[in-house]
Amino acid sequence: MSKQEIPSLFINLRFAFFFLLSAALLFADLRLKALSDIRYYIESALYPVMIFADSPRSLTAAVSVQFKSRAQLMAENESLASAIFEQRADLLRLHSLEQENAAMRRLLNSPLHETSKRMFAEVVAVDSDPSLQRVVVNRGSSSGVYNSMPVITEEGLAGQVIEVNYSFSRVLLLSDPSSSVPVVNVRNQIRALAEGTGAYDELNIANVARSADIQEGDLLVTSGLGGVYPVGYPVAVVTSVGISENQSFAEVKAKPLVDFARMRYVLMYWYDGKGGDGRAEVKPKEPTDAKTVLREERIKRLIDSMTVPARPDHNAQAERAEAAGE
Amino acid sequence: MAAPEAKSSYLLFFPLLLAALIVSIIRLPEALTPFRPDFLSLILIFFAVYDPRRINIGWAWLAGLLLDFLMGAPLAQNALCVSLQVFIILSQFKRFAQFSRWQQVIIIFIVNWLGHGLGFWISHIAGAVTYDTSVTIPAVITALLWTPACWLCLLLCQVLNIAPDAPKEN
Repeated sequence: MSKQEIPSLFINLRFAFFFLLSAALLFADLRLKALSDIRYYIESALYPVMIFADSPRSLTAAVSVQFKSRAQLMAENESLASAIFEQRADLLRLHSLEQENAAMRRLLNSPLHETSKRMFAEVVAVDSDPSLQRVVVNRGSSSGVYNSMPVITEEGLAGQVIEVNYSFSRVLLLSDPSSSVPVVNVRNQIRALAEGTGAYDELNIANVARSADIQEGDLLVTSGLGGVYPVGYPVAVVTSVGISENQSFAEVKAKPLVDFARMRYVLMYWYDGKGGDGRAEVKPKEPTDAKTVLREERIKRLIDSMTVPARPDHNAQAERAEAAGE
Repeated sequence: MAAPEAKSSYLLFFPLLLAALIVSIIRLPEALTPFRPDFLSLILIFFAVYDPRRINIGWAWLAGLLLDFLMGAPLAQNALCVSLQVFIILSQFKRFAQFSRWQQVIIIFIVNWLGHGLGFWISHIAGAVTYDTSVTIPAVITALLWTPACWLCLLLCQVLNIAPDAPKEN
């Protein structure tokens, strides 16, 4: 090795320069969010490198598919066919239930649930920092992906998009420490927040009162509050409930339904928390008959005359309608 | 020792840099993820020691920035970490090349651990990480890999007839 030396002043100055440059870049990126355009272009350009880095895994997957025996393929085909058969039968019932649900919601004057557009995407890379729980999927702004778009799988909710590039986007998984999802307990509609812990198979359910009725095995689904995630997608199953006297909240842990370590394909879900469902709100029928108009006015006057007892009930109803609209 | 036909060390540096970047984003099995060695730092430290006139803090910083883009980390996080490592080696251990192998391994461990600690600290400030005890493990593995990496690079330098940039005599 060489014995040549560089004057230390030169090294120190150089490092000081790069140190200040780094600090400025970090500040601009983290606090001012000023570099997102530059990131967008450079990361889009670096996409081939990511694909290349993923190639060992995709190659082994391709090879193992090639070397499947005929008997294996036939067995797999058979099981898939029977699964599709069963699901088609379930789907028949689902359609009629959907129509029934829509009719009932119309009767209750609640907004209708809309089935949204979805798109298939493949996980192409996992961010290698072990303390971050993020994956890269192969759809970006070219396919219409937008920021904070919900991402689901066939097992349940997976996370949301946090960064969109031209041909790929980054998905923040539920298990990331900076992720939290508003959930509701299916059994008794208790609301809670599911926060990531950084481990693939554990979520922390925050701020559950000690007296709350929450048990092991309870299914938590998205509540739709917050407007990011659609209502009713399964998120996790409660695995442990710990109550200690010196803490004001119960310590509840849950296991996500999606196996993030093996997740290969995801669905990107177009969901508009406010506008999309709000548009579908059913307007009350306009009164046409002069007689009914008169009757309505009389009822309104009656309600106004006894506002004090009537108000809370009225508010509660409006609130319920709003909560359903979320 | 620099023969007139000796080639520039960039010839070896760029392919190795690309390989190290790919290794650092490649998808490992879930169990191995916390033990990923930091090849990028090894390559950069090796070249900073071998040919400090061509490859020093500037290239280290750019390489780290590329890694930031690839990993989606806050910009300049890895750049600062690797350039800090190269800076410590260049400024505090000027006779690093003359040290015996085990001393080098210990120094690499400490420097790499400091670099990882700095990265951890930055991502903590960015609000991304909760405390984790596994920060030390990659540094240990990286330090243990210093000897084979060093041999391999020296061998490649000999085979490809690569010599460091010599200062001009006058």
